[in-house]
Amino acid sequence: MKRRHFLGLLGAAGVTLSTGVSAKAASSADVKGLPNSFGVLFDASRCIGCRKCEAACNVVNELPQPAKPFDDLTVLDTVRRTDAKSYTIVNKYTPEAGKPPVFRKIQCNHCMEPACASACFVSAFKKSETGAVVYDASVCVGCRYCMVACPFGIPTYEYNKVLTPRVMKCTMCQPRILEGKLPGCVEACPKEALVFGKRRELLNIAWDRIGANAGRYVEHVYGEREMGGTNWLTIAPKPSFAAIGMDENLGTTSAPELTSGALAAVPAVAGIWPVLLTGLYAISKRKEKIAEAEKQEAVEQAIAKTSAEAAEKLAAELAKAEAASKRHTEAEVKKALEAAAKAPEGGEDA
Amino acid sequence: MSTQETKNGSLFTPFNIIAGIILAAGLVVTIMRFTMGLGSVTNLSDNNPWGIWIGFDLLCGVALAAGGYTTSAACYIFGFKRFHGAVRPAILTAFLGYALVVFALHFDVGRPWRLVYPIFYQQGTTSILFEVGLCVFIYLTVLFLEYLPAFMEWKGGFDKYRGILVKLTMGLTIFGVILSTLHQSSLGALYLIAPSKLHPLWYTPYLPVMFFMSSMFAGLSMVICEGTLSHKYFHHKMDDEYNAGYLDLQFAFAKASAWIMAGYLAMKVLGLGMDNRWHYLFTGFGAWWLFEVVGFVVLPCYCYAVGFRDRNVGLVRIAAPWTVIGIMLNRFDVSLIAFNWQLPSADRYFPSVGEIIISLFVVTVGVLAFRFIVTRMPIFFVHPAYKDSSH
Amino acid sequence: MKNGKRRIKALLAVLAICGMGGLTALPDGLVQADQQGSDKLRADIISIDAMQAYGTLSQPKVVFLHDKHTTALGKQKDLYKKECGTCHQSNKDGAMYLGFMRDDAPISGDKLRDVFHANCIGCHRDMTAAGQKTGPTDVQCKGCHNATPEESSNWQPLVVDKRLHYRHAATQEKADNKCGACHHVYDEAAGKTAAAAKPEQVPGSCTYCHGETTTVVSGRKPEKIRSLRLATHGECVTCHKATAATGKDVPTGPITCAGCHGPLDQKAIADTSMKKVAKDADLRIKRGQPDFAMVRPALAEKPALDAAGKPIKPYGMPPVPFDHKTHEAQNETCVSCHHAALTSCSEKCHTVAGAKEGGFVTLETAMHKVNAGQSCAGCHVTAQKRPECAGCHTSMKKGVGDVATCGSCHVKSDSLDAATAELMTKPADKSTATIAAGLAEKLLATKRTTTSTFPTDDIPDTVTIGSLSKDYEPSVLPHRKIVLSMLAGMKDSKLAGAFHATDAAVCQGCHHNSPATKTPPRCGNCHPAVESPVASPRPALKAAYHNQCMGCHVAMGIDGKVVDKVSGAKPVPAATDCTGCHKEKKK
Repeated sequence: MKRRHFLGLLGAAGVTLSTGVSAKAASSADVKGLPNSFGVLFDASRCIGCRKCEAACNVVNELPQPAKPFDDLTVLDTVRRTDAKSYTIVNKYTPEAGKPPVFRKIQCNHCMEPACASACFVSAFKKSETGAVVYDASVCVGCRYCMVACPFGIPTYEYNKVLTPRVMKCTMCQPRILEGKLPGCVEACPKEALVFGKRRELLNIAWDRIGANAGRYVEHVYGEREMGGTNWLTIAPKPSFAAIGMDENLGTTSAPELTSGALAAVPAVAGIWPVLLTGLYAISKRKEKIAEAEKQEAVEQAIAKTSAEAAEKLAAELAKAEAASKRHTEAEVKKALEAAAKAPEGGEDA
Repeated sequence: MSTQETKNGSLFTPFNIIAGIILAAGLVVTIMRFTMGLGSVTNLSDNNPWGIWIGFDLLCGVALAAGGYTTSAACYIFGFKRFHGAVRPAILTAFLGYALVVFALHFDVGRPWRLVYPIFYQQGTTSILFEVGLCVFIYLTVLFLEYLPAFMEWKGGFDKYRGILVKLTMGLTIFGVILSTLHQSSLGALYLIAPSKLHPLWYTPYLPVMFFMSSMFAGLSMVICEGTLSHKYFHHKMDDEYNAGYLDLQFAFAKASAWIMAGYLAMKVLGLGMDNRWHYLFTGFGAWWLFEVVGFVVLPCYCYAVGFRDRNVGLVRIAAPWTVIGIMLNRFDVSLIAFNWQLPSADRYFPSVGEIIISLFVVTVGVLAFRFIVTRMPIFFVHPAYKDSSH
Repeated sequence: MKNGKRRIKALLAVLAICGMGGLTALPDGLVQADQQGSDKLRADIISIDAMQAYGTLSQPKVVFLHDKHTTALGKQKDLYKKECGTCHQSNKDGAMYLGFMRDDAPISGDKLRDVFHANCIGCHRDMTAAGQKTGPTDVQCKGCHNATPEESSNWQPLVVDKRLHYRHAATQEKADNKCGACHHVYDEAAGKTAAAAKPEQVPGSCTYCHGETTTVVSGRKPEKIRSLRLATHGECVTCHKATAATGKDVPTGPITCAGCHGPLDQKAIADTSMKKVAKDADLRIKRGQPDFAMVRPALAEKPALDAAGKPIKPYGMPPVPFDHKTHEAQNETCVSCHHAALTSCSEKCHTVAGAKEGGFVTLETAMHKVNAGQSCAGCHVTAQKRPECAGCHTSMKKGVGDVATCGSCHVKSDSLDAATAELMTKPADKSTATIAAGLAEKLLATKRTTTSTFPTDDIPDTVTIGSLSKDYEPSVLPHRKIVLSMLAGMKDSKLAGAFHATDAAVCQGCHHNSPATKTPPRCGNCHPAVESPVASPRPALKAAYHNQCMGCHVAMGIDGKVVDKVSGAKPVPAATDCTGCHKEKKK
């Protein structure tokens, strides 16, 4: 191959290698630990489904008014999900018939290694130092991959806007917590079903509460390890988290870990493929060349063979011709001699 | 049905009329989409953020445009010179395919004018979608450059530039294979991030490998399909070189497809075994999985193999669209049917009329562009002025 | 390819069929229908799965309806001549085997299957031949081996409560055997059971020896101890039948499954008990047990010696004086506390250090474990779950928390110290029973029997809670009314009285985590008025009020209900009824 070609290929490989990706989580901070990040502990056994958290969130984030007011508790009879106008909603569940219902507040769980941040191809989501996963609408393209990626199905989209559709989700009231205030929902809760503080302390409080009330709570803090751990923790009364609509089968692998393998393949392919393909090309070219050379050789051999045969044939024919002419000459000579021998008997009359 | 001119020179052939209706409807929906928002024309929701514009236009579009890299790799890297005539049509199909993918994305994405942000403004390098976007962007450029000589030959007067491009063929081909490997597999890798949402029979850590392998025989099958159809409708544009290699190509691609499909099947079965997912086969979704795999991979694979062995081109030409439908079914399964499988049926997604119209619109635009180009530019034939140049 | 087109068409046809199959199966995967609802509730369901002992079942278990068979056969006198004996064989002593058509000798799987098939189906065939409506014959395996039977079980276990025991005991008053009619004791020397005629001979509940399954004790004669099921059915049902056979219309107990185990029938039994047993009847199951006792560890056989060889004085908690009679009145059977035997807890099983016989449960754990119903603390915790107690006790620590409460049970009285010390040096058996009883009675007399608190005038009538008032008016709490109604709820409880040992004790239910005085501190002294961003297990003031008040209402089950017996009383506000406790401020 020509030198220019080779250099060109190297350049191509180099370009792809230079877009090398780090197969870790959202690279805005080393998420491992973030020991001082804040979180919220939700105690489902304390929630009474009064929806004051929803109302406060609506006010703090200046969201539009919903169809039914927040003191209308009949909305709890249907199971809802977050939508473009509601960062958080409360659902009612009846795990055991005849027993009082259990309520659960749904909002972004502010994962330690957020799937949305990992999935976003313009880094519109960032895991901040406070623990909140914040969204930057100024770069968002609206591809909605974050909505596919979120295992809790939280982000929503403003499908009805044309020029400025945004992804909508709970922000953990990042501006407020940076000022030392509480998130809107936490402040509004009359039962302190929501407790705000450092994640480590919340875990301690959660486990202490579970231990102090033997038999009351499910012995598990949801969010301690789910999807790599979340900053929003939940404890629930028995029978189970599944009974209040939480997915118990999510596992502890974070979303970035799920895709890091595939991402790691990129530089590998970019590095190996040029060599491999060039090699294949070289092999096929060499095969061609060898085939060509063999063909040439075969042709030459064939020519040599036929020439030799022709020469042989020619020599044989020549020999034959010579012999024939010799014979012919001898025969003529013989005839002439015989004719001459006959003549003298005719007399010397001439 | 042929070019715009029929015997009596009328523009209103049945095909054109239907295409025209689709274009008109598409324009209407386009206006609606860009004046009233996505919610007005789609059935997308917070539970189902991706619909057929991703499932079909993006996933199927990219998979079926894989003929470009497979054919050019076969011809230039593996040295199958007799397929040379098929390279340009395959490249054109691929180029139009990718161009239409990008075109369709402009409908689906919330703020299409920002589609270049991830490449030029702020990169999300942890995202598989970033990798898809970057590779598609670069590959579209590569395909464009590979297609450009045909355009230049038609236009004339660009000999110098054409010469440069022709010299780059090898490099562009290799680069194209690299890029195709990366983005075909990454489209599968997109779904790795959501194991809780994809049915266990379809979710596997080997999704990228599955998508890559299936893209290979998708591309090969598309080339066979496209060749069959083109022969029917554009025969008059084809020269001897093309025709000479045409049948051979179809058999060779049939053989290759059969082999790759067998490997793909082995991977699917191994995947089931490794995670001990056999019991899912006895559910409703299991029956559907068997329908997809047995009905649309095993059977066409067999059809291809028999067709190649018996040199029965009829079988090959049945297996090809069958495989294509199988690929579409697989992409639909991963993105729409087996996705969100646990949601109650009231929350499941079905495309709206507007979405279907736009998808048809995009495909029609592609077909019309294809028709325009092949009836004018040297795709199926070698331009007489450039007979001797190596390409 | 030959017949290529035809072959392809066939292939496509097969594919289309598969496709339709797949499409029809797809909704099944999407829909998760749960069609299970049966209203056929029966108490006589016997699940015949004896073949399980021989390997996995090849057919589903047979749902056998015992009462249905006995009732149906009862109508066919000629087919039911031997009554129970029609299906159940008896041993040489006349005791019935409860297995179907077999004794309890080991039997192979094949033979057992044949026993069932031959006899069940055989009888059905005989009935059919006799022109009767009957069960399935062998053509329909699924007729018997039905994996999805319509019937479901509402079988409930039967407890012989005090009234039932009284009624049974009454029938044996004039008999020779007396208690021995039901209770027997195992005589090791004789190698068999002997009737326990006198109350003192009765070893206690059947469950002490007869467990869930038949136990085999090697070396014992006989080796097998029947399971509780076999024992009770074998004894009770046969006795009821024998009684019925003594004459026409002799009142006797049930002999059908539902008669003892059906919920409706059990209610009927309870009603009959209420009617037949006089209101003032002494229901106490007498066995010569003391009215009072001292609960203490068994005396060590060999006193511990110090280095010099002198016996070490055993230091321990003061013994617990125990009102056995009152506790008996609170429970239906002895088994509630004496869960394994009527002998001393601490002699062999729950020793101070723990022993193998007691599952290594130490004496302290046996007495104080909160989760175990048979421990003292455990039973008391169960009592605290009653609505009238739960309001305060749900959020309080369960069981023994504060060492200050040890004295509630381990009663110490200076005047009785010497006598107690002397008692502790003697073994805890019959010889000291009378002394112990007297001492216990005296110690208990020093304790309260009813809950009381400060004089009514000292209890504030209303308390205005307004330190946080912002969107709502201050809340006016009807303090005295609440305290008095709480006291009314526990006025008959000796348990409450014993543990609410001081006047300030009941105040601690709401005025918690603070010194017990007549003037407890304000809530706001400890609970911060404003919630801070630093997480703390102690809630801020607003949540403290709401959790205390609402938590109590919910635990007592009065949330949203009218509880005040005064006419025109308003309901206790529901949790989400903010204005029920505090009016909204007018803007």
